[in-house]
Amino acid sequence: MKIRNFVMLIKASAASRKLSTGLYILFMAVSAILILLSVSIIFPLGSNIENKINNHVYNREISVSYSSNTDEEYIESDLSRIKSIEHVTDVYLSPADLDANELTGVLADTYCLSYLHSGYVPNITSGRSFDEDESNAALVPEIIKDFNSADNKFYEISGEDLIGKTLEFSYGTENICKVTVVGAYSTADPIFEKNEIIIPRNDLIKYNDDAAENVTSYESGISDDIYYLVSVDSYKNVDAVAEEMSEFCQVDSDLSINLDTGSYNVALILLFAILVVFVIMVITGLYMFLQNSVKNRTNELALYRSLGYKTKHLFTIIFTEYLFFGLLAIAVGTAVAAVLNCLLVNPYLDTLIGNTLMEMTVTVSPLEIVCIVLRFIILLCVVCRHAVKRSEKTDLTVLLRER
Amino acid sequence: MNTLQLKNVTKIYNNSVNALNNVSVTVNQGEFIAVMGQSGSGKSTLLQIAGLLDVCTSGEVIINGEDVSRFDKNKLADVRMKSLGFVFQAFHLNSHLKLYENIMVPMLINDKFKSKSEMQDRATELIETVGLTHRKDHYPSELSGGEQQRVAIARAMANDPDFILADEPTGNLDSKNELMIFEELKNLSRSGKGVLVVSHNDAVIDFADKIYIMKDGVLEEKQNEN
Repeated sequence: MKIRNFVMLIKASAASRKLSTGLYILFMAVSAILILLSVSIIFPLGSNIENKINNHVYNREISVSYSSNTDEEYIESDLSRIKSIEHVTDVYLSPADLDANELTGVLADTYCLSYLHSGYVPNITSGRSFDEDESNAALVPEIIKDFNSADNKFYEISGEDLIGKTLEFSYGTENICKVTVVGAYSTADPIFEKNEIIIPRNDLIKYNDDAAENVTSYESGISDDIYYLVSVDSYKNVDAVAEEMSEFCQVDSDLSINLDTGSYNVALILLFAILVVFVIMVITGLYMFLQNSVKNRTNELALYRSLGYKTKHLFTIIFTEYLFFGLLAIAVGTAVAAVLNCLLVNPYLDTLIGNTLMEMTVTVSPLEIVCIVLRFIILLCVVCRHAVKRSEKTDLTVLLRER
Repeated sequence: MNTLQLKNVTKIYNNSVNALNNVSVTVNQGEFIAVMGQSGSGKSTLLQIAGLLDVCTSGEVIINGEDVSRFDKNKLADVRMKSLGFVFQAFHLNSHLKLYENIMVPMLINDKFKSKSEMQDRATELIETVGLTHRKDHYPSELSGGEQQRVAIARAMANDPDFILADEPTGNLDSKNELMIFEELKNLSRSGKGVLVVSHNDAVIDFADKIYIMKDGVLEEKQNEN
């Protein structure tokens, strides 16, 4: 049995049912658009929530503190025990952030010298990041809103313009440090309050020590306590690690980022529900189209059977017809979905969550298309088979009735 | 010799309506058999059973020596394709296929034809036989009733079956075309096909080798005085 033998019958069938065929193509195209749009939003959103929020570095860290007069050996022993706990990936000294004023006049406001937590990769918008063993380097926000108290105005300074410049900061009582700006970073992550100058952690540790030298903690504003941060491989393991740690050391409250994930999770659930509705709609619609088609072709199918056509032949004819027009519709739907993503969805997402941690771009991926096509073929196979099987019950004697 | 035999066939509908009552008839190769009777006498039911479009309640349908009455669907389909050709009262041509394409329809599932060109050649040959070569690229709607029925006869011959079964083939035609159709069917029987025609048209008497009268589900042979 060669499918190409039936092309003539398929063409005649489509020609005799132009309206029905047109409706089927339209239905499948719209279904493809709706499903592709839903899927292309759901998966990036879910991935964003999981990777950028749930598994954010800050959501995977536990703080442990010691008073300044704690024996060093005792601390080392604790750190060694912590490192041996399953799922712990790093343990490191956490220096305090330092408030600093820029002395060369480039920046008027007070800034916070901070550092990058272990495993955190900033989104560099221009220039480059620095290595941890690099010294006297700095990252600045991509857009700095610098407040000048002299004229009570905010001035917008592009971080990119500062790349290569050496800034001089005074911190503590009489401490001064010089840093060279090597790059600018995006402040979309809510962990940034938009006034952090990021420097290597070792430099910040040294500046902390300098600030604490010869002044009391009260005067320097820096706590005497020593803080260590423990990085865990996944947010799912944080509680277990914290519980194990609390058996032998002082575990502080968690440092998870304060981001309202509720609305994003609700959006995700709603989109899933909509996708399920679309899928049910497609299955039901396809079933109804085919049932109707077979019902309206009673005489035609009865004639084929009277000529010796078997169920497999009728299945091939109907399946091939609906497969061809279905694939055509999916191709059209895919093109329209891609255009809609570009012209509507992405611009809307940009206004909604652009330049935030949840920033994302939706595209129609080849994998999604392949999955949809495969599922469509399987579904069509099942529905066609069912419809054609039902047609076996057609009384062939309808052919003998007068027209 | 190829034969189509109905042996003691009974058909009961809904456990109460006796459409055929112990009917026996044989159609031999080269014979033209006519079954006549009034509406509701059971003659179409006879054709349905003989054509394997329906199953009998009891009895046997033997085609070329093989009892096909209890075959499964697929085997019945094979028998219909290879051994039987149908001509219906309502023609049942596909209005979106050209004449030669309509004739090709039964050939599409016949493995004997290896290519589309073979099928087209066969279709052309059959169109010539029924005298419609000049209309082969036309659609059924462009033809008269008689021409359409001739195409239906050509289609019935597509797979070179042993038997042609015709149900009221002239039911929708005028008298001139009626005779033309019966003549075509007679030509088929002369060429070696067994032809079984169900008709209430008296004109068939002049063409039939044997005539049967169906009355209340009972078949009786009538002597053909021609």
